[in-house]
Amino acid sequence: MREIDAEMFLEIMRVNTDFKLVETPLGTCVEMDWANAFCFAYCTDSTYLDCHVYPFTPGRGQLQLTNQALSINITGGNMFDGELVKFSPLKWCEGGKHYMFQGTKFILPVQTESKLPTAEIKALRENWIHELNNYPEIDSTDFVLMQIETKKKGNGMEKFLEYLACYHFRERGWVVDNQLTISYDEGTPDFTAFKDDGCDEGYFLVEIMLEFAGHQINQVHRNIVRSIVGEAKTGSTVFEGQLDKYLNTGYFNNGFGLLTQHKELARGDIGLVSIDEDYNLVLLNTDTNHRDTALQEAYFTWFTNLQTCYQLLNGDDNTVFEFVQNIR
Amino acid sequence: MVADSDELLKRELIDEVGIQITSEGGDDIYLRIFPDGSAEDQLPWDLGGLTFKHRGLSFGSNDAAYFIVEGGIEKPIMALELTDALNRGSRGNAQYQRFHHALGSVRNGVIGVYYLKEGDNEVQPDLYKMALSAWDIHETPYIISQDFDEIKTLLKLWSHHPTPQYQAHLNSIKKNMQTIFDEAFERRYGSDWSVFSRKRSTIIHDSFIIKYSGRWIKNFTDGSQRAGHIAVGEMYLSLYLFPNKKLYYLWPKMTEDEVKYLNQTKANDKEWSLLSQENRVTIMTRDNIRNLPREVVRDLEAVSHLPGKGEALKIYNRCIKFIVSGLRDGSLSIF
Repeated sequence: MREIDAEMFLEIMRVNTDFKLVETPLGTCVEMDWANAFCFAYCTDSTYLDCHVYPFTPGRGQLQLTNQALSINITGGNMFDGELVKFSPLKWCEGGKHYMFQGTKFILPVQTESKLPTAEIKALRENWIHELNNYPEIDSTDFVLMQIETKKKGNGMEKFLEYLACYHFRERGWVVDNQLTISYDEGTPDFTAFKDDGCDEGYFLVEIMLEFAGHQINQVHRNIVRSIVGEAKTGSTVFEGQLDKYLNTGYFNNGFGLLTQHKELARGDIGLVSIDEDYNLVLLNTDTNHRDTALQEAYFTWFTNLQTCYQLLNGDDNTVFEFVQNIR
Repeated sequence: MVADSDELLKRELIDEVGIQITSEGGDDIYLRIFPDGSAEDQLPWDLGGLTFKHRGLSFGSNDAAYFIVEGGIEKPIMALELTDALNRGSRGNAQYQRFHHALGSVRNGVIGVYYLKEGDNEVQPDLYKMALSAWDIHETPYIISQDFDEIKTLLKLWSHHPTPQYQAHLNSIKKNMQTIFDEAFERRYGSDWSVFSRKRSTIIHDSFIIKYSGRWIKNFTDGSQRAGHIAVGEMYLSLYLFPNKKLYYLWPKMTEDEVKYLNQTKANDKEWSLLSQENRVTIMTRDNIRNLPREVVRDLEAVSHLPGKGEALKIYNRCIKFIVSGLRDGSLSIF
């Protein structure tokens, strides 16, 4: 089984994205504008180099507004705390993490080899923060660290595959996310995407929450007509059982496995996103439509409301709460 | 159903207490913490983790710990278990399940904090009494808290040689915990342990108590069930509410052979180790009940591999009523 290491990570990013590889005092990085870096960190749980002990990531479920498809309630997710919005990009910006919402960022792959990867990367972070004091033109928070844990199954790179799938479909005009829970039993798909055929430009769902910082989505997809779902695997190639759980909900038209290498599928009703020998992302599509029209319609209505919530999170808390109360 | 809250609580700890604190005495206090998904918290403290061992028993891992550095060695001074259970539909035993996590540190002379973020439900008052007992027995503070400010203040006042201010703050925390328990105990049980025992599946004797429960073997062999955690929580509830008594933990749906089987197959299981190796605890089964009539044994056998619902629950309830009555009036015994 091929695993993605730091070198491969950089090459995959070079081949499959519009981002440049650049040399920095900390090594070769992927250069991104702040909004793209935010989406990358959100999808992959990568951390800003703001602190060596427990650096910040916008990922790890903090922006989960609800944990149940078809339902939006204040206590189900992580974003609300009583009658307050606890976590949102706006709140983070107001709380001192303004560095996430400005300038150019550098994604640095960090490969840890020891059995104590947290201690290992903590020491690296401490050294790097110290070293960057020699470069007054660069802030440590310009760096986003993508940890690659070689002692973990699949080098812990499942979320990077999810990001790649998200990026690929965003570029093709889809709204993408990797943290939308269906339910406790069905779980959280590693990748979901939605499409309004009247809209050409795609976006990461969380980009909607970056409007307050001047990042505009030109056209929010309101008339969703299609959705797809994916299950990512590194360290294994068996994804079908979990993918079937998602497809059986009737919410999705098509389903894909996301793998680091090609696999001959034993069935024709699912597709595959994989990486070939030249590091190109390859999409093997499927014509089988798994949707249940009535169930999917309800799912799309819910998703549209979710997008409205995210938009409102650019403003004051009361407006969001009023909206949530009105749609319950 | 709710989203995972680990990151949420760790972020709150960092924002409200901090990753580095300098105490009023000038000591630098640091934070050891791991991101969600890391397994390093399962390692013992000395190997870089957040788990504490005591007399060969390994307790649950904590979410974070504050430490000082002495001679290049990281020495823990406070371990914290954090939960958002009160916002996640937990009214009862899910709160007890995590009690043993911070208990491991307390048994090692390190302040333990079990932080339950304020939410829709209330903290079970018993938790305060359990912690107070642990505090007294192990002569180390075990704090049930819903307030990061009081934790931060404690760290600010911390010193190698406790100051009167530090001691006063600790006393205030302890007094508050005692008051919460006393008021709830009066409200719920009229401050009467015999009322408590009737309502809480407990039989109280002079030197021991019997805690009975409908555990069955599948609770411990099926990984999807959380019953092992629940059983550990109930055990520590009984142990620390009755700190001077021996605990006989009675599971009439199980047999001695099944317990032996678990001893063999679950030797390395953290929860089973705590249940089977705690000093003051002996697990008892229906095989240990003397004079139990044959027909009651037959009924228990019939339901021993069935979940506690429907007809099986009715039969079990009939049996346990008979057993409890017998153990109370002396017509049955477990010795």
